[in-house]
Amino acid sequence: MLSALIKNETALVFKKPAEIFQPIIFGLITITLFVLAIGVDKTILSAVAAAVVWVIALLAILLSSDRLFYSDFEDGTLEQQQLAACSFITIIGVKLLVHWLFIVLPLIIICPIYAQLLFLQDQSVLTLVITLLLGTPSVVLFSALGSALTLSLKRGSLLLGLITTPLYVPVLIISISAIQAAQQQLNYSGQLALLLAMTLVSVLVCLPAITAALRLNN
Amino acid sequence: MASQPHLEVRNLSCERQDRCLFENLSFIAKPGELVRVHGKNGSGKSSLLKIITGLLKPAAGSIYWKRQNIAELSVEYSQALTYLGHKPAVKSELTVLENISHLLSFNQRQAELIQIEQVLSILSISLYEDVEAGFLSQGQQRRIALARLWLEDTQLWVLDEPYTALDNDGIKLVNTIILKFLQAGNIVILTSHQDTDELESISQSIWLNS
Repeated sequence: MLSALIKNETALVFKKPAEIFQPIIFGLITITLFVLAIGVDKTILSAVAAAVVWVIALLAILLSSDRLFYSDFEDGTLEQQQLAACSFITIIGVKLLVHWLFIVLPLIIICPIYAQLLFLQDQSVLTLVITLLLGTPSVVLFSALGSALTLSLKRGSLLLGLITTPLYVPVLIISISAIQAAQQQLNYSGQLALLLAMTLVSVLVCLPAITAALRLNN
Repeated sequence: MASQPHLEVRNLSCERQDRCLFENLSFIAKPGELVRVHGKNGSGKSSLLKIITGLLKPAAGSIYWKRQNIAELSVEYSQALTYLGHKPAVKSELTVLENISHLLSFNQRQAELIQIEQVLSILSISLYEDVEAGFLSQGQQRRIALARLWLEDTQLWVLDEPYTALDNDGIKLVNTIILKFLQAGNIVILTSHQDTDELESISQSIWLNS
């Protein structure tokens, strides 16, 4: 039952391959412009590299989740999902999982290259990837919550940013502090545990909140 | 699903945008009964159907399925219900076959390919099974949504304007499957502006006036 859901959601994502490449291209453009503006100064770039890659990830997720539920809402799929025998919350969970796997994960896989372009120290690259893997699921959930709340608004994008960015802040701060600790060869397992805890809590809190927000649009 | 279908609407009131659409609406649908909801545009027909499915919460009153409040049933009620709304839930980027398996996956149903193809040929869209739905006409897209009526094994159909965009043949097909479904002892609730003589004689009518 779950496999059929995952298969169908994946098929839907692959119907629009542009959406898969959008975050990667977005990252490449940002880094190019950033390097062009600052100049190839190794000390400056390597100092800000981790922060830049994290901000790219946050903005790419924010951009891609803007219209996350919109087409389902417009064509009536959202109504059918609410009446589904396999519970609305499961369907939304699967949708977000597939979204993370195919929109966010490719960006995480490619981000060591971005880190290299910005001269991030080699020992920090692994930490960067781990913080992204642990932190982005909760970022996706926060963005989906914002997207669900602004679904019926004609111009919800601005509001979406206002609702979700404050929620991003703790994830960003903890991740960057983990990477800084790694740069100084300190132990950063505490930060990683915090990130994991945030992701688990956001699954428990955000998923029901997202379904409740979507139900308001009937 | 052994037990007999039975739907009761008790003292239902509906408010939308602070406007009362209807009050104290009650009716009972027994096995094999068709309920037609009549009313002008904006009189609350679609809202009534959405309340019956559980998509909307009523301002007052409750719905009972097999003598149990639907607010307490959820999965059981979902398994017994097929709802066809104004919006057909057809994805323009998926092919006809993909659309059908997409719709069925929500209800944990998997029909055999042969069975789906049979239904598509009944609905005369089998030629287009690998064509993306976005390339088909409104009526053909509607037929994709209607395929669920043949493929889902439910006891209660809630149909909001099922004849929209359909040609005469399409309307006849829908009426035939509705009659067959009713003869098997199930319940249908529908709204339509179209008068169809075949169903008129056997239906119970609800009038909504606002």
